[in-house]
Amino acid sequence: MRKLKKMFVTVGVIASLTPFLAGCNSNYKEKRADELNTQITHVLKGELESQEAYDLLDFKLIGTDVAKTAFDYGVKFNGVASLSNGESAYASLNYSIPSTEFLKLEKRSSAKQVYNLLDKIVQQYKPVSYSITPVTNLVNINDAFVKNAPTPFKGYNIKDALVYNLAAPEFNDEDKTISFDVKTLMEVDKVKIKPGWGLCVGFSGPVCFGFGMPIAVHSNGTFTTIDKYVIKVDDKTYEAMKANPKAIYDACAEKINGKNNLEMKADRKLTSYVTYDEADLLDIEDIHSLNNDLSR
Amino acid sequence: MKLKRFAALGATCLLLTGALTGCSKELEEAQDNLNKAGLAAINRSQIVKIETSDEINDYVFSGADFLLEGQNYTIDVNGFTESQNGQKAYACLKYDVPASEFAQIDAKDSVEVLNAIAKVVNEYEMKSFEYAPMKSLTEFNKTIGKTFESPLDGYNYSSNLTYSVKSITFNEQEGYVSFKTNQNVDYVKRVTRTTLVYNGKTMVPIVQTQYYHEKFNQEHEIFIKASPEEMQAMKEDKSLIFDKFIRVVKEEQKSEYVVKAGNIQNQKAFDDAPEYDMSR
Repeated sequence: MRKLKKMFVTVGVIASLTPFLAGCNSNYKEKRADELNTQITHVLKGELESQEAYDLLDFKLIGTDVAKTAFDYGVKFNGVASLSNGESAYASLNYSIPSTEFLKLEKRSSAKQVYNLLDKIVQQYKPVSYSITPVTNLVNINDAFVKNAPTPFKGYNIKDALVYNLAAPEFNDEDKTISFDVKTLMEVDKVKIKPGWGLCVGFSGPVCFGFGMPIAVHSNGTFTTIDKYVIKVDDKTYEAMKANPKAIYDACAEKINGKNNLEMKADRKLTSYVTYDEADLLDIEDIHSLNNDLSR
Repeated sequence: MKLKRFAALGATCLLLTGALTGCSKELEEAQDNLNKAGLAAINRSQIVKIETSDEINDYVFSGADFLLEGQNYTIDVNGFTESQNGQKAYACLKYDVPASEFAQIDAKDSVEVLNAIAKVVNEYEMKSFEYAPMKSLTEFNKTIGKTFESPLDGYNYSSNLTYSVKSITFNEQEGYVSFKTNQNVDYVKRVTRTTLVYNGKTMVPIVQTQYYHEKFNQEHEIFIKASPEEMQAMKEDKSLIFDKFIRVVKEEQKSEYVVKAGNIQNQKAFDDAPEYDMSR
C-alpha cells in the first residue's frame, strides 16, 4: 500500500495523519508525531486503567476526525493499539471541543499549527470517551474491508485506502444481527484524456488550426467513508460472537475473501471529503508498517 | 430498478433541473407539468397555509430526494417559489408513497420519472411542507458557495446550485438556528501546456488551455448563533435567518456560524447511480 499524503480535515470530518507533515523537515514531523502519540498513549492508558482487564502498551495515531455538532466539535483520535494481553486493536480517544479552537486553523495552515492544536486538545481537555476494538490481525482485517469498499464516485478508481477506525459491534438480540461501522480513508483518481485543438500563428509557416496531442488530466482527492456492516448468524454463533467479538471481523474478512457463506450486508452511510488537502499536511505510514511497529 | 437500489442504500437520489437543460421538448413539457402540479398542490394544501400566509403564485421544480423506508418512498419534491408580494423561497413538498408507484418506471427515462413525480404531487396528500423564505435566492446561493472547498486536488470552486433549503431548527437552549441544504457544486481545474499541431507542412507548437469540470452533489448543515431576541425575530420572519447567514459569511465572522459538510456524491440523474455491491 502506497503512503497516503494527506491530513484530512473536512468541513464535517477533520482528520490528521501521522507522522509526516509537509513544509517541515521530516525530523521535525517525526518528532511532533512521536510526542503526540506519547501524549495520547498516556491519556488512553489512564482511561483504561480502571475500566479494562488489560493495559495499553502502545498507541499509534492514524488520523483524527472531527464531527461538527453545531458549535462543539467531536474530535476523535483514531489509531491502532497493542494491548498487554498480546492483542492488537483499533482504538480511538474522543473529545468534545468548542468550535472556537478551530477558528485559526485554515486550509493552508502549517503543520506546526495543526500539531499545536492537536497537542492542546490532548493536554488541556478531558476525553469524553474512548473505544478499543481488538482484532485478530490488523493487516488481514484492513485488507479485507479495503477490498470490499467500493469507490465513492462513478468513474473514479481507488488508488489507496486504509481502514482508520473499526467500531465496536452492536448486538441485536431480537433478530440475531450484529452491526458495526468501518471508517476508511481513500485516495481516488480519475483520468480524463481530451484531444486538444488550437490555433497557431507560426513563425515558420502560415496560420494553422488543428488537433494537438491529447492531454491526460488526473482528478484526484482524498475522502473518508463510513460503511455499515450487518451480519445475521444462528443462535449458537451469535452467542459465541458476543463472547468473542473478534470473531465477527474475522468472519466478515473470510466472507469478503470467499471463504464462508456468512449472511452479510454492507451499505455506505457517508462519504466526506477532506480539506486542508492543498496544504498536504501529513503523510501516513501504511497499516502494515503500523502493525509491524506494534508487533516489535 | 435503479431507483429502488438507490434508496435501498440509504442514499438519496436526485433528479435535477440542471440535468435537464438542453433537453427535448418532451422533457420540457414534463417539467412544466410538474411545475404546474407543484403550484396546484401548494395552493390546495391546508398544510401550506399553516406554514406560510404568502400567496404563492409560482413554483419551479428543482430536484427530488427519494428515500426508501420499508415499502414506502419518502419523497422530497424541492423547488423555488415566488409569492404575490415578491417573496422568494425554497419550498419542499413531502410525500409518502408506496414503492409500487415507481415499480414500472424506467429510471433512465427522465420524462417518465418527472411524470411519475407529477402524478404523486397530483394524486397524493402532502404529508408536510417546508418553507424557507429569503430576500434573494441568488445571493444566498452565491454566499454559501463561498464556504465550499474543493474536494479534489488542483480544482477550484466554480459554481453551485442550491436546490433545497429545509429542516430549519431553532435551538433556544444552545442559542443557535440550523438548516440543511443540498446543492450541485461545480469545481474546475485549468490545465495549460504546450502541444504540437500539424499545419499542413510540419508540426508546430501551440499553447493549449483546457478547463476540466467535476460536479458533485453535496449536503450541508448550517448553524448560526442567535441571541434570544434574534431568535424570536427569526421565528416570526424566517428570512432573517438567511440575512444573518449572508452577513456573517461576508464579514468573515467565523465564530458566528458553522458549515458542516454532509454526504458528497456524484451529481446524477436517476440513471447514473454508482454501482455499490458490498454484500458479495
